[in-house]
Amino acid sequence: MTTLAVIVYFAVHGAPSSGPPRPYAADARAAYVREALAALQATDPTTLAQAKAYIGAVSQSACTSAFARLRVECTMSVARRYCAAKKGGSVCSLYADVIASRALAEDYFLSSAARYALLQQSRDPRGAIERELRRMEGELAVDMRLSSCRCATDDTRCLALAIDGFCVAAGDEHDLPWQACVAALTWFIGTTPR
Amino acid sequence: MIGTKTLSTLALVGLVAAVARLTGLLRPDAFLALDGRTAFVLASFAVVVGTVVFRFWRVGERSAHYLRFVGRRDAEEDEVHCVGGDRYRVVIGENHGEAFDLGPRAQHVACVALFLLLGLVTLDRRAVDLLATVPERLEVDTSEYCSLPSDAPAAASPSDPGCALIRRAYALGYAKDLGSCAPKEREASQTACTRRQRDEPFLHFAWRRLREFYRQTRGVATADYFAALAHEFEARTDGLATLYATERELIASTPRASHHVFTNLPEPPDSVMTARGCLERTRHVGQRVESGVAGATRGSRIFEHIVVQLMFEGRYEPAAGSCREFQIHWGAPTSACADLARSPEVFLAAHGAGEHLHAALGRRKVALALRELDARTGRERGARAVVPAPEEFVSLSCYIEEPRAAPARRFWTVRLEDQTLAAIELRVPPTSMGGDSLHIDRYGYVASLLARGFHYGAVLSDAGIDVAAAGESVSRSLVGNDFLLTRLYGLESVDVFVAPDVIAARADLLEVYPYYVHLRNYVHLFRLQYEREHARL
Repeated sequence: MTTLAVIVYFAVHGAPSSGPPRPYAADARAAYVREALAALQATDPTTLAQAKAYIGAVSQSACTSAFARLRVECTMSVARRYCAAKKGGSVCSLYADVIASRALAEDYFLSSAARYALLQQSRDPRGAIERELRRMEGELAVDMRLSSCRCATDDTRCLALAIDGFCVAAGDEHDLPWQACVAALTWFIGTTPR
Repeated sequence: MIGTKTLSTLALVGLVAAVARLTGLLRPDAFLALDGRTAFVLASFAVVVGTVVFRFWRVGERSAHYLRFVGRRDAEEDEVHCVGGDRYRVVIGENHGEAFDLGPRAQHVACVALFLLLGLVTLDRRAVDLLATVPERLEVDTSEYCSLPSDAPAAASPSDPGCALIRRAYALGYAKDLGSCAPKEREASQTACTRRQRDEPFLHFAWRRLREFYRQTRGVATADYFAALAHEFEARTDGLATLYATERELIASTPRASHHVFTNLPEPPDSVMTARGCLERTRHVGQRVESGVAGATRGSRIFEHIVVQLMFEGRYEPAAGSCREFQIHWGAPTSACADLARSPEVFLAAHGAGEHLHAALGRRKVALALRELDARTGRERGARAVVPAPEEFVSLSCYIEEPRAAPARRFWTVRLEDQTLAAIELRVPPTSMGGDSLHIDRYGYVASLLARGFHYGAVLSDAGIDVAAAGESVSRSLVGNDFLLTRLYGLESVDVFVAPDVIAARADLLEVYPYYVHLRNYVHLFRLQYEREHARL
């Protein structure tokens, strides 16, 4: 009887999957981008600004290292601790990931020369850099919109698929890593008032 | 019977038109190459000069004389023999209106057309540019005379410290001299002025210049100088065929290298390595080898993609060669290299490679002849004096995919013209048909086929020497369901060209792996090695 029950269970639910998890498979990526987008849209701007200021500042200062991987691990730890302290749960973890990735991606969008020029010209260099990043993220979003995206602004499922597809192509055609592209687009779309 | 003015006008128009046609100036592309300014100058020249000639030479009026072909017939009384013998002759007579003459408007048009054609023959963009600078070059040098030396010594600078007091003491007699505050003498000119002196008579100045010219000419125009000139002229006259061949190859864009890869893979339907458009189509290709492509030509597309990435893609640095000098011959037999070694001319002709290859070898012969000519005339051509050996600019390779466990390489000797070349044959296992493959092994095969001494390993990688530790560390860091974006930055420390297993074990990472980080280094090192082994004429 027990054997029969087990056979019926696996017949209904399917055999347990084997092999390593695939969090970066296409469908899993799109689902994650959708969750991140929803988390950004659901969080109030003040909370996001605080998280961005804290994680961004630590990533640029205490986490700075000659070894890129150390900086990545450090930034991730800082973001985790921040969410634990705020008791933000999975929503915090999602938007903190976008913020941490965005902080690490800054070098891809702003060259040292451009950053130095901003530091020289502005009395509020951090604000100037943030505005410049925002402008470039906006350009990227426009590029995506013109090239492939036909989604409504509130259709997060469609947007997530579009962001993932655009960033895979951008990574192949240009020297922009997928995660940097996704963080930029998700942040821009998720924090732009609809 | 035709008026002499009409005959002259038509003959001149015909003559100039023939010259213009022979020199290629009447081709449509020659007209298209004219810029706006040159076209305006030409048109103005034709209208102004043509009209002036028409008016002042009275071309529009009736001809005073006519010419008539009379053959065997007798000439009229008032006609005079002009040209010809007893059987065929042309006579000249006074025209009272009976001879054919073009109307004034037609003559005017003919005059303008004549000078338009003359302008086309004699004026081009460079000539117009030179004409534009004539006024500047005609400006008279105002410094024709030597400048007058100033009689007054330069005054000491009033800002010299303490000098005012010393000058005052000197003026009152309290000091014997001014010392360092004395006015400084202007330094004598280092070179004597050879221009005309203010009080020098013109004839004396002219004689002085003539004498100077003679002195300089006597120093240069020696018998040896003229003998060397004559020798160079004779040598270059003897080498006219070589010089002509050099120019012809430049104009015809004869290939400067000839590289051929024969493969048993079928030709892909949208191959980018075609004679036309390959420069544009190979300039930018995706970083990732297209793994989603299925079908019989999948292996061909992957092979071509890797060849283009290694050789011609211009994203990171200039291409290693010209795609017009690199041909992939698809659908070759698996015995391609053996057939090539056995009867090279027949094999190359059958695969459409013979003409290209012989053209490159022919260009080398011309380059050698030119170098010899330069040596005889004592001319230096710098880098052009070095003519590469055939194996540097000609390569023959066979890339064969067949069922086998491990790759095998073999060299074949090919005798072509009077040269001995080495053809390399590489037999490799077929391309993996799995959609989730990196094809890193193909990179290694293709790279070693094109640049025989190329090798890539952990020492050359930007990821560091301890590949295994880095791979293990990254593999651990990519386990987890949170912070999926941030975790991926660690992937940059994994070089797939050294440790493909790290990524191959995680098929889901194929689309998000930053290929450019290490592909750039791989391509850079490949091209360094390729340029060490190959050259262009």
